[in-house]
Amino acid sequence: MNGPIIKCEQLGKRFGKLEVLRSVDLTIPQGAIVGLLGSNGSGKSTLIKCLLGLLRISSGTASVLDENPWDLSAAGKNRLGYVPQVVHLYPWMKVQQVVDYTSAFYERWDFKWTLEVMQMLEVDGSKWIKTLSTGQLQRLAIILAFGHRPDLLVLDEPAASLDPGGRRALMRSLLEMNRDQGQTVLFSTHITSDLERVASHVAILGNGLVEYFGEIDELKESVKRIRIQSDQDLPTQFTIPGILHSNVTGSTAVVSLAKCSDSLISDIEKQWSATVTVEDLNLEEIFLEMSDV
Amino acid sequence: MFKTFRKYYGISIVWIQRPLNWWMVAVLAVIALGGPGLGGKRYETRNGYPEAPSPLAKHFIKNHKVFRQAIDRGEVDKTIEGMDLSSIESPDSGDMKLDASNAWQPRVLPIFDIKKAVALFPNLRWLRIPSNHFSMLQTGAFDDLSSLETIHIEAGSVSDADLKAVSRLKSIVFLQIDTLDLNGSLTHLASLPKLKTLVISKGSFMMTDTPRESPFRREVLNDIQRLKSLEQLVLHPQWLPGIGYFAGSTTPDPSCDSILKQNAAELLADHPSLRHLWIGSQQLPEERSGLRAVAKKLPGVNINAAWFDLQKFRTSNAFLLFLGLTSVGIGFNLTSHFSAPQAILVPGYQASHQLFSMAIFYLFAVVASVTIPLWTNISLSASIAIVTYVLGTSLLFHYCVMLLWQQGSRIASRAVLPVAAALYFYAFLGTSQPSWGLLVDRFLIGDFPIIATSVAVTSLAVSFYCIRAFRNQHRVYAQASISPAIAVDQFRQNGADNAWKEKLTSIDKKAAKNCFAQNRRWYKSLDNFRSHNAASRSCLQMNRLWQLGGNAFVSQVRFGLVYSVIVLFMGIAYSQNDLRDGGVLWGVGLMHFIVTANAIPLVDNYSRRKSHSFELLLPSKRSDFILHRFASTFFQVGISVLVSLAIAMTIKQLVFSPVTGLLILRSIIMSLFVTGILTGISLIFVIMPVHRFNWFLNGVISLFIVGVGVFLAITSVALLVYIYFNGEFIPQLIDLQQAKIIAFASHLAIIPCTAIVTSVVLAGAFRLWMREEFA
Repeated sequence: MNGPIIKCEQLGKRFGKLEVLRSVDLTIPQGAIVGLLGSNGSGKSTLIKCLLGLLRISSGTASVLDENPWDLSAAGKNRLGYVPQVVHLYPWMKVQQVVDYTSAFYERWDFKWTLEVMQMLEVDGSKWIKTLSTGQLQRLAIILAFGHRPDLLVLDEPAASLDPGGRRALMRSLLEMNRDQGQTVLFSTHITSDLERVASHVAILGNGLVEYFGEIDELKESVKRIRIQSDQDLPTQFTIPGILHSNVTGSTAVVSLAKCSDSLISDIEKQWSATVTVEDLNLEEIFLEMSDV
Repeated sequence: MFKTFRKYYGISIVWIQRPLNWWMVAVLAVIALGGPGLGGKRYETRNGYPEAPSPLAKHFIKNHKVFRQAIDRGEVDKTIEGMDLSSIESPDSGDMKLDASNAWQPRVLPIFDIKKAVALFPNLRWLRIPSNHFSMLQTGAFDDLSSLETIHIEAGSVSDADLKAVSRLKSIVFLQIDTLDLNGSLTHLASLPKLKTLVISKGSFMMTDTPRESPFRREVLNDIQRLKSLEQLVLHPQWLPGIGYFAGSTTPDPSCDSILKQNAAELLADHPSLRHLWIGSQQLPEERSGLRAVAKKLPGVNINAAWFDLQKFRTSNAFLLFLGLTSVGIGFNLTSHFSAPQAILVPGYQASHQLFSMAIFYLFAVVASVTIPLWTNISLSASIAIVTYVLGTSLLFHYCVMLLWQQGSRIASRAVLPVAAALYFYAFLGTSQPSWGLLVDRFLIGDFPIIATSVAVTSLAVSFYCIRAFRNQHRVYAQASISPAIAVDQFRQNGADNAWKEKLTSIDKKAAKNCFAQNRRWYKSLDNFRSHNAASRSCLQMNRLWQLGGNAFVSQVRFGLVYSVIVLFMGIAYSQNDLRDGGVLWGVGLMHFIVTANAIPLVDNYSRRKSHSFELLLPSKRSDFILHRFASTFFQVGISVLVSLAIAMTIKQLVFSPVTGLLILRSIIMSLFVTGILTGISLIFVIMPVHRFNWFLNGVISLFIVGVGVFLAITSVALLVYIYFNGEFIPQLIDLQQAKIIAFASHLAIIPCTAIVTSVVLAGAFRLWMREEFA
């Protein structure tokens, strides 16, 4: 398959009159590691559930692994791994039993790899499920989603309950799989440092649509914060093309720009007889600037 | 192959290790050990053979008044097809007379009147002649009844002349003789060309130790051998285990079970046309072996006992309880397996689990179906019907609970359990409707292949649908768990707007009017919000508009499933004479499908109370919200009551007498009142325990009260409707006390009285809610 692994056009999801997703356009190429960012209630989990067929979409189209997500075939499911936000497993069973039980449903299950991931995530196969903490359950869910080496891995806030060690191990295995197999990963998270570490692409969800989707380096290259020191007082309603956020104090302004370029900087310097300093932003700062928080 | 084995091995491990299943096994083991003992060792017995099919009630005279009116009119009535002379004595106290022992007795009508009356009904085909009118037989009073097919005579002593008189009735197909003394030859009956069924029974006569001409002696059996057209024979003596002798006699009483069976096996062996024989009893091991011996000697004849043991009936109930719990256990397992995302996303997960559960379900069905005939001697098809019915209804019940669960009503689904316990207690252990054992009982009397096939097919379809329906559980759950939260959010937003308006009410009247209009618009917007699709705007789904955050899917499934099954059962019951023979299937179906499923919306009130609390905190009138809750419950219950009424009216029209406009009007008015009472009672029970006890007691007591309360409410309503209709429905009820109740319940004044009771109950419930709810 050479086309996009996930594609949705004008995807909408509403509950009654409330529109959670308005018009989501998203095309995820094969082999990408995509981080899904968005504030609370922006519809990240809803989008993931729609893409996996757990919720029926209200409008638009979506395809996952070239299939309609509502009617995923067994072959499609064999190429798909999912780590939910809340993990439901059988409390009366042992970890190894659940792994064996789950493995039986998949056509190709890599037991050696599963063992490696179990060791990496420090999960004990002899433990009862009911004795596991939330974080350990999350680790087990990751193991169950990784075991069959899926082509597409979807994780809904996988690191929310993990300790730093667990997060590091998770990120490492994601990178390993992506490197070895060209696996595609879509994961939602609020921990932008993780995302920065592994993601090749980022999608920012807000107002019911994808406000930005692109390569993470491109985003970081594009979004900048500039400090303007002018000889004269700057207007309160200071505007520049592509402005995200501005703070003007007399002859000084701090401005966030969605698309910062050398020509734009030189134009500002000329127009306002100013000195402009360009600052790089990390992903968290970019997200905050873009989501207007 | 190995892969498949691993998969199903894994599933079975999941099932086996589950603690819930161990509990289930423990409960089942207790039932298996103690179940057959439930009810104690009783040897009550009843008839085990089919009665002659009687005409529909509207073509039947059993009522003294109707009979007297017919005589007074003196007009020939060709619509009457049946007459029971034992029931036409006067039930009215005005016609009672004191007998020699100074006891009140009904006045017996003079023979002349009966003879005259019989002539007025030339199309009579069913006739029962009690002992006090038996002498009429020889007078030739019935000789001109050319359509007479069934005759049931009761006489302390039947003479040769009586039998000769019977032999003049050439159209007879079914003849039942209840007597202790048959002093004549049955060979006279050989001249009856159409006689297919002969029942010789001790009837209601008590055993005597005086030597008489037993109707079960060898000579009589010899005579039966000569009845060439006879296909069904019932030999139903007093239950006499072992060998008994009349006083001073050295010859054993031929009515003794073993003697009768020996004689029948010997003397009926070469009967040319006999197809079915009901004989003696099967309570004791030797009686059962006697039956087997008869069956060996009469190879072409279907042999059954004429007596059945109540103990067996109770064992059936316990056995069916076992099956019901198994079915519920399967449902619970499915609920947990399909409530997580892996049900949708793991390849082959749903199909494998469904296959596994269906395999267990059908394995139990097959084992149980084969087991029941071993100790009840009913046919395999009947056994399959019973087993699938019980398993299917249990699964349907669990499915309804699951739907409640999916919409977030965990409390409701737990509250349903005591309701189920109350409702099903009688089903498992009772001896009358709606006991499951009655199904076994029904098939003990006859095979009824069409009923058996229909019941089995319907039940299998329902169970298949229920098991299949679990597969999308996670999707429904995900959708439903998000929707109510959004509904509450929407409510809060609207409420915030409304709060500003609300403040104006104390300022001026115009603003207050505006506020009222705003409230109306608010509720309208809420309704619109919930009726976003066309289906939910239908009348049937209106109830959902009041379900704050509820799920229309629940109502759709409940109404759809329940009523389609009811209509089907009604059709089967009608077509198979079940309604005429006491309506066993109808009664059982009614109980398990209507009552159980409709208890759920009432119990749902209990769970809604929790979400209600959010809404009551909004700056809007508390009374409005409570009114909405009342309106919602009233509407839901009203739909059920009216649908039930429509079904009852249809039965009345079909089976009894034509439905008049006045009756429909009265019934609808009464149904509305009944709905009001039921609404009030259920809401009182829901609110009663709030704030009265600590959290534990509050939980336990409220569950108990909701369970028992809803059960009592439903029973009260059922009784009210039943009594109200009795006057028209059950004309054969001539008991003096019952007649008084009927007369009372049918009186017009009952309507305003019920209206007052309804108002009091509803007003009381409303006041209680206003006082208690989050006070």
